[in-house]
Amino acid sequence: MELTIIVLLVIVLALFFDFTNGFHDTANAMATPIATGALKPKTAVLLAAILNLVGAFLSTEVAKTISGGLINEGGDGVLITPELIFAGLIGAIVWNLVTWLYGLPSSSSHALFGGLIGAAIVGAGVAAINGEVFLSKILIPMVAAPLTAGIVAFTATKVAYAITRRHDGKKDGRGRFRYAQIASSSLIALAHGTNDAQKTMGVITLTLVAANLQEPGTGPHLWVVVACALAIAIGTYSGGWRIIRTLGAGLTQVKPAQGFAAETSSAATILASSHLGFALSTTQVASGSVIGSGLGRRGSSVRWRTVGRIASGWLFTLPASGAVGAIAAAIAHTGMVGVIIDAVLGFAFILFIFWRSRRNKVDHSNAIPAPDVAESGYAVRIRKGKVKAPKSKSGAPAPLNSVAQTAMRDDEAAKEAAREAAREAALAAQRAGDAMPGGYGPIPTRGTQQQEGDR
Amino acid sequence: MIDWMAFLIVFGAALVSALFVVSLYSLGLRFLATPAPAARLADGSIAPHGPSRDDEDDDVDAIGRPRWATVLANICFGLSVLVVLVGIFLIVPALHFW
Repeated sequence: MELTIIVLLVIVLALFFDFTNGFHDTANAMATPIATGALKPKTAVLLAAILNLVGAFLSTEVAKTISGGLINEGGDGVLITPELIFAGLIGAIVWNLVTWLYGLPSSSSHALFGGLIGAAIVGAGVAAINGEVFLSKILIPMVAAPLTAGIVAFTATKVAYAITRRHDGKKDGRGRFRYAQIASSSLIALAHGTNDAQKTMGVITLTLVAANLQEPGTGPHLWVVVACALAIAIGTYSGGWRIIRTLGAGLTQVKPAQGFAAETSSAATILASSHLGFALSTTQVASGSVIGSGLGRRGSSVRWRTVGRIASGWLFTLPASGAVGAIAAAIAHTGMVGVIIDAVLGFAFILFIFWRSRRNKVDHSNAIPAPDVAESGYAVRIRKGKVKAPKSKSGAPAPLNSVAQTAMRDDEAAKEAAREAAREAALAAQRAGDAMPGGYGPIPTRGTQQQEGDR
Repeated sequence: MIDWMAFLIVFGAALVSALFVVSLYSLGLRFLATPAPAARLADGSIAPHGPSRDDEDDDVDAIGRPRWATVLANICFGLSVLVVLVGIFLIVPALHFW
């Protein structure tokens, strides 16, 4: 009886973790196409959701170990019990929700590993952890993933702009990179579906095996596959708009050519890493790509403060989810009552986070500041209005060459963004005065575009 | 042990393939934006170079684009589609027969 309840709880929690995994990672694929206006926000998350759903069905090979070797499982190591998985999942979900609230892209796998490690340490001490695997699978990739993707994206962005740069002042057609963006971001979403839904399928299957409800060595049941695929797809569709905002507008202003370069770099890095045996986190790759492409485009700049926040989020992922996992495991060790206390506390925390998130709501309508989204619509309006009547102080229309016009237009867009941000900040301050990230204002060094952009 | 060789291979493969795709599509766009030869020689001289631009124009001036440029552009886009198919092939395990 007890066993069945805990197994049921693990399945529910695992599916909820899958859901948070989905909405946490929508941004990896869809932040940049939303930012450049390649895809409308709702269309983008729908596309990502469908691709995640399809991806989940495409790959159902379940990992042999739940922690990828991080914990010395079975035999002479730790016995992975449903209680331990339960506590680990609580740690992972709590950390996923906290990072989501603060709009930080962070790896869901690392959160899960952290939670499991914490729970395992409570049960069996530090010796339960395989330090070497920890170093080679968590710490090194944490530096290698953004660095690799960043360098690749930086180079790709340089190349894309160099090839399409006009020296005769004619139209360059770079807006058409948007079409390519749809393909490149779709590849990321599909790859994500094949990888991440599988993790949850593994957790549920291994729990069923541990509870003697399934033969060891058999694949996941159909209902497990369907449930996991649906959970990640629904999560993806609900869109982690806060994280989309950070990746799409918080790190740097993304333009179509740059967005395409970033997504292609992400897709290439993810595919290379999953096929050539040096596993990298999708989230960390995607973040690195956006940063690299921001550095690669002339006249663009990267907000290092946001980069720092994201990086510290990564550093804290394992200790934080581990601590929560450990506490949950300690409570769960007291028996069935402990497990129920855990479940109630976890549920209360989830409600708390969602209640907290309503204070400054971020959804499809306001995730990306308007000038960034509507390159095609909004910005055109600005362009028309601005180029028609650029008046000097005397009131006479000033003759502008195309570079100056561009600068003015960008200036206008920046002002618009600043107004938007100010409005939002005022609203946020009114509501709470809390430390949550509000809207992102204009990139501060926009002015350099004029001197640098026309070299 | 950290497999540095595997890391370098991943890095190299990602760099080469990303640059390949991005160059291909960029070249396609560049071909699309090829101006008409006549436009350059309107009054018998080559039109003066304007400032180089880093804009994100939605369109290109298609009028008078030489036929070869259109063909090359479409070849580039076609190859890009092929690369996407290769990507899908890599992602979907059911397609791995070896």
